[in-house]
Amino acid sequence: MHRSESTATISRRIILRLLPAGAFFLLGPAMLRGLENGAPATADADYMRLCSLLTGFSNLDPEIGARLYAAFVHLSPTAAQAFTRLTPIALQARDDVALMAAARDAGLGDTALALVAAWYTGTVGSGIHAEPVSYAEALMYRTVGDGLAPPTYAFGGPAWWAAPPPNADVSAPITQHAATLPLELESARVRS
Amino acid sequence: MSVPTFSGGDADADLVVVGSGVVGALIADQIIGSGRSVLVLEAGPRLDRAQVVENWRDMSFERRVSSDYQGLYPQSPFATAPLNFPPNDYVHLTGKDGGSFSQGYIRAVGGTTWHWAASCWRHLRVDFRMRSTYGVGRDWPITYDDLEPYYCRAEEAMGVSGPNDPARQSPSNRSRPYASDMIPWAYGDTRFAEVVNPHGYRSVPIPQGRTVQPWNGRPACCGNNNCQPICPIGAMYNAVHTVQAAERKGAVVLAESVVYAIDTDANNRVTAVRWYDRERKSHRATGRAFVIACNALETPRLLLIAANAQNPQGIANRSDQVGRNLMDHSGFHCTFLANEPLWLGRGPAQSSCLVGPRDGEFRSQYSANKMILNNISRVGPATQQALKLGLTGTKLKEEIRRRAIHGVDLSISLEPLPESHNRVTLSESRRDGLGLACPDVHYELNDYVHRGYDAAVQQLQHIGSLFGAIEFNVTTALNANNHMMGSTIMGSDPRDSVVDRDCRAHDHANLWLPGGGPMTSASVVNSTLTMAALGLRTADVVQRMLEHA
Repeated sequence: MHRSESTATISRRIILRLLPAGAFFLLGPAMLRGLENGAPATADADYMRLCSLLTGFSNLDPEIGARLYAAFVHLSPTAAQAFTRLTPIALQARDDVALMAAARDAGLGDTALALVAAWYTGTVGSGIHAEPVSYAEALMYRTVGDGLAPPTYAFGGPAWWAAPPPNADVSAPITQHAATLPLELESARVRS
Repeated sequence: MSVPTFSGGDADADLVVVGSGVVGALIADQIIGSGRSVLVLEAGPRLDRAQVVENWRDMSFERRVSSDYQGLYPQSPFATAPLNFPPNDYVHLTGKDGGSFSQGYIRAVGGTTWHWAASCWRHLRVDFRMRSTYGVGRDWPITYDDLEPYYCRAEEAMGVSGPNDPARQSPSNRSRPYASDMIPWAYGDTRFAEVVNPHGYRSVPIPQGRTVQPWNGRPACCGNNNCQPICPIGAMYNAVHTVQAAERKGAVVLAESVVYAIDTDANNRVTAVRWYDRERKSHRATGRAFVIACNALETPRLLLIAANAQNPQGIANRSDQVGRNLMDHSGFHCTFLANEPLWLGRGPAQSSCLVGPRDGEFRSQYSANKMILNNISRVGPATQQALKLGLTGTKLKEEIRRRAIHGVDLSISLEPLPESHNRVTLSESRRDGLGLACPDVHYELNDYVHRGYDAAVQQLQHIGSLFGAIEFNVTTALNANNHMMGSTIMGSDPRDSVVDRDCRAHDHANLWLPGGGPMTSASVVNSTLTMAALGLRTADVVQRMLEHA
């Protein structure tokens, strides 16, 4: 999925340390040239700690982490620097709420939320330049993994769905967000 | 076994079929089975299911959550189909409601059954008698009873599971049971019906082209919840299944073969069609009988493109009705969060539907509707919504789960009336890869539809209240449903219709135009089963004609 015409610089250490040896070759020659340009060093474990704190999942796949990072850097010339600044903030933060507060203070709130969105949706960016990175591994599916498989995958054999669903384990929706939420969230829908 | 003959790149067959979707495929399969040679010319390519599945998974989240059901399907450069991300303007839309006619259809072997949801509804008896009963629209020249045996045969050909309890059928006028009983409901369907049915909304099982046991070489449905835009395992009926059956019997199906001309003799019988192959070389297919079944947009486009000296207004178009009376079920969506978990997204994409508002005296005044309880996973929209709230960590996880399992999406269909100003014409400026004119569509809905929308919104508000709905939203812009109908309308008077009661062109004794085009009323239900039934009825007529030829 990576584009081959990358000219952005990406963090050599993140890519080198996070990718399994085999996956490294999937990056393609242009991406490897990008590595040679060098970039601000960001410790791989620190970047993954940032991702875990923001997403609420401790067992994240470092290969996906590296690919999301590469996509951000590919799409934005300032992404590498923003992540370099954001990562040490995560080391100081007790939890995601504290991290977000500190990130906003540093003008990095949008960067943090974009990273969250990328992990949950599997895609970096939007529009025709969006870069899909993961499908079934997108974290959104884990939130309901006890009752729903990612579409295209089966959850069981024929008619598995006739069994009762799992417990909700969350409270019912409340109205507090209704006023602030755009009503027409799905205006692009065109199909029955 | 009778097979087409080829000579110097040209072909001859008893029956030449243009289009390999469900209608063309069913006819081809029957006629080859009766011992006659069959050539099928399909404009688009053959598709590889596994590749299409991968294409879908590789699309961005935004495109998937926005239902881009077109972008994953490879197209031939010589057989463009609509694209939406970004729009390719292949079908140019004008008129007040042009925006509601942005159709998604596939030009490939198997046609648009690649990304349908396999809902196999019948029209009601009264749907054939709209003018006589309600004073609106047109009557068909055939009745429900004329078509009923063909509905049965279409259900059997497509392996339809449906409710065998008459109380849960819509309609219950059936001469035979379903081949397989209803697809079992998930909790969400069952619970939704429990809540709304005491109020007359009549949620019933959707008859659908899949089974929960292996059927006729097709695997059992495993509820992969991806019927649209691609069933990953081939459990959902796809016309490709019928194409392959016809090919095993000796039918020849040529992909990437774009028909662009139709030759007629002194009696205005069709003698041949001409097609471009993938190298843009022209060939000619002669035959005794000709069927054009390219969908209700591409069929009139071809008839108009193929105008010849004898038929200067277009083939089959002495009435000037080719391309007119175009219809699609005008759609909209109602979304909300229920006050109890419904867990939609378990099982196939559509399994229950509210048919209470499908018929009534009100139809003399405004459109009926049906409301499908969409069972496509709500995880994508839930994630989109939760991310907009700026949440992170555990709160985000919980918010996505809450919205995914409480979220409801109803897809509502309204019934347009056939009106001559709604039409397909040929673009004077836009050309496709072969230099053939692209289609223009002009579409303006009668207030009959808009009044039907208003009535449906009131019903939806009531339904929402039964679930303590929050973030209750009804879309205001009507959307397309890819159920194109009416553009080669059926009638007994050649002056105001294109085909007769047998889907035969009034102007050409050996040309049939079955499918959505002849449909004289839209009803509110998905059109495919009616198209298939009309196709099988046509196949009987073609078969008799070939036997006597």
